[in-house]
Amino acid sequence: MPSDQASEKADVLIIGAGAAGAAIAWRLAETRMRIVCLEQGGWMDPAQYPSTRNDWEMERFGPFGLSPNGRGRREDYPVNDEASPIKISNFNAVGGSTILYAAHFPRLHPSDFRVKSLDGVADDWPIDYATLEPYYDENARMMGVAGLAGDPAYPPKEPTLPPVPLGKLGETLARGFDRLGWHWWPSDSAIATREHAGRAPCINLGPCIMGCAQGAKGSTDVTYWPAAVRAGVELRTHCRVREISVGPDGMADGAIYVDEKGVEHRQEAEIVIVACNGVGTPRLLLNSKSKHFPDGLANSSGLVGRNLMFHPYGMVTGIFEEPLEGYKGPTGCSIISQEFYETDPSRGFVRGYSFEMLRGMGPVSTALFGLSGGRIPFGAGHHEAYARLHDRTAGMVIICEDLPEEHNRVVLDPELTDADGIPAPRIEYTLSENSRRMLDHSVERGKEVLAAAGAVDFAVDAPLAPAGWHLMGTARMGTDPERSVVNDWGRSHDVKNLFIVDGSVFVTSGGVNPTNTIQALALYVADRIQKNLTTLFD
Amino acid sequence: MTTPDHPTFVALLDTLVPPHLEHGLAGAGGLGLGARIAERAAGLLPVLDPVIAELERHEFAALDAAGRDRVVKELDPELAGLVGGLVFQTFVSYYEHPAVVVALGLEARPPHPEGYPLEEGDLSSLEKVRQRGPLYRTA
Ligand SMILES: Cc1cc2nc3c(=O)[nH]c(=O)nc-3n(C[C@H](O)[C@H](O)[C@H](O)COP(=O)(O)OP(=O)(O)OC[C@H]3O[C@@H](n4cnc5c(N)ncnc54)[C@H](O)[C@@H]3O)c2cc1C
Repeated sequence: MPSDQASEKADVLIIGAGAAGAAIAWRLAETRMRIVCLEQGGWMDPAQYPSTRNDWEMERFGPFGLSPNGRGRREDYPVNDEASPIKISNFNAVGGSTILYAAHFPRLHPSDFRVKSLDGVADDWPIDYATLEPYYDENARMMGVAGLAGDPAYPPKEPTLPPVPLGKLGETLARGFDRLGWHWWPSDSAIATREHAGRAPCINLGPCIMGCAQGAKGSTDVTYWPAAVRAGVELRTHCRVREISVGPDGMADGAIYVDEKGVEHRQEAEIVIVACNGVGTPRLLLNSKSKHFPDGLANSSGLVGRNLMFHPYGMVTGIFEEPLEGYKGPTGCSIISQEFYETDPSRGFVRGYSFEMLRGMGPVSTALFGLSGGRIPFGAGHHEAYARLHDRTAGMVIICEDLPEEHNRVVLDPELTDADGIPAPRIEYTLSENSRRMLDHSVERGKEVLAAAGAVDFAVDAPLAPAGWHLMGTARMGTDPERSVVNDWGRSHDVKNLFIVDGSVFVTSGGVNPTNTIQALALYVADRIQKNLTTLFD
Repeated sequence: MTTPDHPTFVALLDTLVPPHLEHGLAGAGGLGLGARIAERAAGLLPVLDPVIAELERHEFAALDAAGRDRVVKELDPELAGLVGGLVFQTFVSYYEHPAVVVALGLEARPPHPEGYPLEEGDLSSLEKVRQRGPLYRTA
């Protein structure tokens, strides 16, 4: 039992202060309801981010690493991902995984919501592109999205800010696409290319994926959260939710959480919103067993944790003969290509993928890339080999659509726990034949375009093991309570005052980074909650 | 006991990343990287004791560069495995060193707060991309 008295009851309790939790907190603040958000991490201090230090490149092996298993931060929970070729990457703090994300910020396409109707696979979403369009626009204003209007791969959309500069590297790669006559476009990027809403403009530091010391990257600790807190949302940090509690009527009535000293507390609430991401959310629901819900909360369908989708990533690094100035500029944001996005059955797989161009490498990363790939020896010939790679690499990642399969899932590990003794998640995932074929196709096309841009050699890594950063599908949305966990506006079929707003609710994954859609969904759910307040629990 | 300034250890570092004559740079040993490596990977140096003992058997520090290179490359697999960890740390410490960074034509400073200028780039060829018309399927 909790060790202290219940805190004053909240109207809305949000669990998780990442991309989705921040957006819904801000959007609901205008209702003047009492909103409390519990977040297991703390506020980050941008002055401590690696790019402020000379040894910044090595921090990716330490406290700013991708895997929660190797960072040594108390606020992380371990994830047993041994049974998956793709490993979990996340971050646990105010801002959630957006602290580390690359801020590549595309939308889903209209066809992504209709995969069953168009391609005969998986399921259609219960909502469509048009439903989310106004929320994508609102999110673009709040997150500060840089880009260029007119991309023929999308219905018309207006970015808020001018595009991220191509630099020499981006321009070199763009010429490769031009030579092949393939689609490319400056990426939509949640990066303030001009001063925006109090955020300083991007100065091309490079390592966005270790936190942005400039505050130009749209992580939600610098976008939604300051506005939400100003509007009255109470954000309680270092509070790890152990379980969502349920009243005698089977409705959620709050949460039990542990503070950083290990002391248990209880927060009561009228409405509970879960925003812990595609792994954290099923973990919490599965940990919330009760008399009413012996298999975990909101799990009468048995689908909580199932249908886990990543985007299987391929990475192709091209080696060029000319310097590319690749250490400058946002790591993951320059140009995108969606030449192979829509289904073409002649390719041997359904659905498709995006190419996301990366920048180059710093001096240490170059050395380690050369060492691990056998391109830079120690001893004789070292300097000559290093010179062939120094500032001459350009990377691209390929984001393949992953289709939902029930056997890919998040379960509770029978032994592993976090620092508070709460059962940790285990991942069971295999790569489908469709994904494998798509990866093979995309890697070959990737090499082709890099060669057209002037690359003389390539390094390939596919599937990219640490790329479990897009976490989707584990509490899917749908109209049928037997085939889905939440309805078409994020409300649990089983528990009428429980909402889920992160990537868990995705029905399919599309072939683009998900965060823009996750946040658009959160804003949309907030809007529906607001409009339906009087009949919310009917 | 392997210490950062043990002559055989310093010679080993110089063998892993040799002096760069063109850049006028000392090797990893000459740059004194042993101390940095010991600081960064505290457990590594003691593990290297058997490697250093084996190298000393060959009077490693007195050999010329080619001789040292050969001895290290011919170490038996177990000792070579131990050297692997040192190679990683030596590369990291070497390419972080300000003198090396400058010799590579870069500025020896962290990215923040100065940042870097970046060319906008030529977007004119996008007109052709646009002319292809919509690529997306209407659902
Ligand atoms: C290295 C990296 C690069 C990425 N690049 C991109 C990119 O370029 N574009 C893109 O679209 N996406 C990218 N992503 C993914 C993106 O970060 C996520 O899609 C997004 O952050 C998910 O939002 P979320 O709110 O669902 O979860 P998160 O942002 O992960 O937030 C969940 C929050 O919930 C908290 N939480 C979890 N469990 C509990 C609990 N029991 N109690 C209290 N708090 C809890 C966590 O601490 C965390 O802060 C990247 C991710 C990583 C790691």
